[in-house]
Amino acid sequence: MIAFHFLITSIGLVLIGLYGVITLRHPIKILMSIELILNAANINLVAFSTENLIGQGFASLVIAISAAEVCVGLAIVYNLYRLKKDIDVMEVNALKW
Amino acid sequence: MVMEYAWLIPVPLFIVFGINILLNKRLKNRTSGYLATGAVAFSFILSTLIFISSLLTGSKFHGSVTWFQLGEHVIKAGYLIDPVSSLMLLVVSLVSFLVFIYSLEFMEDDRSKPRFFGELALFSGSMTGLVLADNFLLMFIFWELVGLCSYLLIGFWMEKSEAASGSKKAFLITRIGDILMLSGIMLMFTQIGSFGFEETFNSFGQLSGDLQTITLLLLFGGAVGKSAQLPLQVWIPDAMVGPTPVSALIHAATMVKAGVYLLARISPLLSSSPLVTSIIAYFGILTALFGAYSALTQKDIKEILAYSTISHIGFMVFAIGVMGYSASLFHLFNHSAFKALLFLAAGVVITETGKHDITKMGNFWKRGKLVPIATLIGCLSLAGIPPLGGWFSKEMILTATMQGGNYILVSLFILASFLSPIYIFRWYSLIFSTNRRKKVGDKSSGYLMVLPIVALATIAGLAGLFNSSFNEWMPWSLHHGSHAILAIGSTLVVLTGFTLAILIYHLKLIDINRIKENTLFEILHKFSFNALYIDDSYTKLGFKAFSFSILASKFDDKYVDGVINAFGAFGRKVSSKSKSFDDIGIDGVVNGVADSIKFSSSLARKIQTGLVRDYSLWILIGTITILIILKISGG
Amino acid sequence: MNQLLSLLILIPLVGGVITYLVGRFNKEATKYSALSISIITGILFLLTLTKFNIKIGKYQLVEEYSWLNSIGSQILLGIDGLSATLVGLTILLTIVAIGMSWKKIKKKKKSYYPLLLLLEAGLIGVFLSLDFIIFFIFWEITLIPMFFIIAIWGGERRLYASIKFFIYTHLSSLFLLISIIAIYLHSPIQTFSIPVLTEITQTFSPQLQLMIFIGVFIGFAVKMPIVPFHTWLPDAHVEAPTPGSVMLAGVLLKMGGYVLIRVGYMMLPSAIDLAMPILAIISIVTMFYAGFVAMGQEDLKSLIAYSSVGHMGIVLFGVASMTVYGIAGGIYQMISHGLISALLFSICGMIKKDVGTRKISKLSGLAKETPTLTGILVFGSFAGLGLPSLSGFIAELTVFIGAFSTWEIYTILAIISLIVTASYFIWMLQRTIFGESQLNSKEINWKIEITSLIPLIILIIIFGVYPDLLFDYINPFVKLITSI
Repeated sequence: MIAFHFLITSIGLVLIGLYGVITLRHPIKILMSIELILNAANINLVAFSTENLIGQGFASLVIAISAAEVCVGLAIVYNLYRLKKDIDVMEVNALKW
Repeated sequence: MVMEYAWLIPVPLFIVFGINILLNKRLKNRTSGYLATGAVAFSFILSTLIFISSLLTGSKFHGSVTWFQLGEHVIKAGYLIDPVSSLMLLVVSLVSFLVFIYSLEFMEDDRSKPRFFGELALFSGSMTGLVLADNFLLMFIFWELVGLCSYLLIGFWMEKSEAASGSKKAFLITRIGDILMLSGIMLMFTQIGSFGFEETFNSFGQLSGDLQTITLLLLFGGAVGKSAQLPLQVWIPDAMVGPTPVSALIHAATMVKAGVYLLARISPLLSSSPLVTSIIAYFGILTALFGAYSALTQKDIKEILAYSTISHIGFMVFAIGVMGYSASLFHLFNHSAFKALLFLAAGVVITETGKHDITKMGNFWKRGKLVPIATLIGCLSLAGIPPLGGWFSKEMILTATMQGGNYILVSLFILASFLSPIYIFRWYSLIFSTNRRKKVGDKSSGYLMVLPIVALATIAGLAGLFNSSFNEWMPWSLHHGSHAILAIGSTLVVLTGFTLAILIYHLKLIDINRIKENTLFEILHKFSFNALYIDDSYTKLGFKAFSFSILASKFDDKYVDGVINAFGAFGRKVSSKSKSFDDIGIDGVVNGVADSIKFSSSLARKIQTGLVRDYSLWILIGTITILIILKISGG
Repeated sequence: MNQLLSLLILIPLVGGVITYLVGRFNKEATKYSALSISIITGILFLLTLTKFNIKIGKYQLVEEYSWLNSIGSQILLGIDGLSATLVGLTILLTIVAIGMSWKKIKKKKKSYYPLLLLLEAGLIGVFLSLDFIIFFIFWEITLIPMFFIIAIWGGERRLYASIKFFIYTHLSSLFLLISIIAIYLHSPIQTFSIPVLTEITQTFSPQLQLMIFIGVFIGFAVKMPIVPFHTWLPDAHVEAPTPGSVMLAGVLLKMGGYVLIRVGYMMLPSAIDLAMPILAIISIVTMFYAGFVAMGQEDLKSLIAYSSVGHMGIVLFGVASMTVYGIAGGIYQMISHGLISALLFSICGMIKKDVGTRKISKLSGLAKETPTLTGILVFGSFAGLGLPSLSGFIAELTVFIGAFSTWEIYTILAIISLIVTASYFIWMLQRTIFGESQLNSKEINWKIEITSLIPLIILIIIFGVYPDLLFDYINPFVKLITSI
């Protein structure tokens, strides 16, 4: 039954994170939402690692990688600001055709 | 044996052609002329030696080497010396030699002398090659080279627009004949498996009758184009824009004689097909009449001679049609002498007066007697006045015609030979006879131009003496003198024509203008005269020929020219139409395929917004869809 | 020395890389490097010819290396009479093309000459490979350098022309590929080897052969080209630089003829037998249509391009007659046309440079301006219209003799088309070389270009006077393939 609560919590976090990624316009907020999604996964990894420590190991790996990812993300945001003086994601459509 | 070296005859001429064309500007103007004359002198001496040895021994020589392999057949190339070819060699190299000497002075001031003499050498060389060839393929190669040279030489003065159209016409119209001839040659090859004359003559009889007729008619088509017979005669008058020595060569030695030579060559084949020979005879005599009739009223000094050539080649072809082969060749020999003479004389007249219109000439008799007397001999021979060569050959043709017993042909022939003296003495009188109002130019010609004329006059004057020995030497027999009354009759007809011409044009006892008032004569005069305005009818008929009714109603000798032009104009129209069809129609389909792909892709690219959030939404939707599908299919 | 054939392909290929590297240090040196590599290839080819036994029609000097064994493909090279003549033509025309580029190609030399050598390697590869997979690879490789040569060094509408050229010919190659796959799938043995498949495909039912032949037909009809698949050709020619036109008309079109014989005639004889009358009609239409369209052209270069279409129609006509003469004449015509069109396109490019225009109506009086160029133009035109004693005549004669024994009426029609050919060449000459001049010649020194054209002129004359030089290679091959 404990697993069920963990799953509900993590689904909630994922949905909040996805909502944030899709709707928010501020890149820092998007990064934070991505953190939420990753942490939802971490919750599940830790919660289900009852017999051995592999899940917890993976969780700590995810934390480390997400930290690196945020670094990259922030660097992109910083450069975006330098180039455009504006960090609204709706204005960034350089990938268009 | 000198005959073994016959293949050397064209070689120096080709070499000179190469030297003159390659070195062109680096060669001194004079040197090029001397080189060419030296080469042709060599050919002339060799030809004379071969001619003499052939005349004395009557022997033949045939040398050949393997040329190339075509499928299963080995094609040989070689040269054949017999009385016919040795006579032609002599004629070609003799006339060429004299014309080359004449050109040395005639072209003195021209800056492209190397090109002129180079092309002239190629012209003579190709013609001797044509004569020497022992098979149809080799003959055809030289045949076309002769055509090429005539194209280059007629268009020699390139800045003239008439030169461009005249040379184009000459090449394309003879090309029609050449294509027919080539078809005939190929048809024979597919049946017989050889191009050689001997092999062909031996196995031609195995072909079916229809095939024989078709092949011979196709070969005759080649002769029609080259020898300017009806209906392909239109290029000859236009070809007069070339330098006069070229005209002399074309008419007396090289180009137009090739057709007659071809017919004489295939005479063993012709003898077996009476249908073809009678067709040839009718074509020949109608051409002879047409040419003589058109020559009556022309004004251009060279065009009269051009139409006269059409007429006389018609006689030769006619003679072949009535199986008078030796008569035909004897006439060819005579014609070469007097026609070359007349053209060279015309060249002298043109250089001295700078004019082409004979009605504006006169008084030439006063300028030294040598040229007028020599020309007179040529005219008499052309007219067929006894005892000159022309008379003998015409009598021989008449005898041959009588043996066929076709009296329509006999009367047509006599009619045509009645016209010859009239037009040629009109020509002669207008140029040479005294006329106080006309002045003569002040340029005069040097000995290099006069000497060849005198030499040709000697030949034309003495040719008649050899008629009987000529007849014996030739490989065909012809019975003599069996129609004495007719011979005398025809001579009287010719003399009547001669007298008439003298009365009208020289003594002016009959006023030509009063004759012209007669409506019938006026119409006749117009018809004859109109052949002169070829450039006029060129454009006029080009338009008219589109309407078929006019084309049909004017289907006449002199309108054949218009038909050819209509074809040209039609071709242009079709080509421009097909070009636009090509651009819009066929190319449009190709571009259409590309456009449709472009359009569909422009719809698809709308999905690409470039916004990260849109992409992540698509990823989400995709993931969910995949999960749902997995759930459903996985059960 | 058993690797002669692979060396023939590798030397230009590696040489292209070397030339590119040379170009990084010295741009001027690229042309010397390219020239020396193409001459080395030529010497190697002559060496190959000494080892080549001309009496045998079969593939010789065969080389075999294992490659894609899983699908039955291997690297298989061989040379026979057909490929020997075409490889010779390729090598010769590459040297001529380098000569024509010598002074005229000024931008991006370091990528131009490697591309030219890559093109040479690709073309030699097409003619030498005996395995369908590598054959097809080389077939497609040839498109790439040609595309860039047109697209970078071409005229004003070069992008349009190059894309059209690429897509059109590439699409047609796909049909050829489909046919190749169909042959592969129907064969009981898993192999792509052309000699093996040749024996197998001949046993296919005529209906199957015909189906396969349709794909092959589209493949070569666009390449050759045959009306109505020809529209890419004038565009590509008009826009291509002169050396590009030389290679395009001289050799690339011959790939179509090569496939027609190698795949069409040798592998699918029953299909050609069935399609014979249609092919004859198509080729006659091609000759007449190309002739009339050529007559209406305003641009000298597109006139010559259309004349190429007509000349290649004669090749199809000869092969479709299925006789020894017809096929031998067809091959002869390919070589002869390669030489003549290369000559004509080169001279056309030189005229454009010299007097500044290619419009026929503006060219009158050319003879006064540039006598030498005019002389070569006249020579080329007469060679093009099939003047006897020049190579085109022998080819046409042989084709028509072959065709006469198959069809009479068609052949006579085809012969009549020669009058059309003569007309447009002569009419073009009338409008260009004659007349008063309104041109301004720049009097450029053409020594290098004319020197590189001399071999073409000499060969056109030699092949017209002494045809055995070429027939010695062609005849045994043709006899072998017709005897089956």
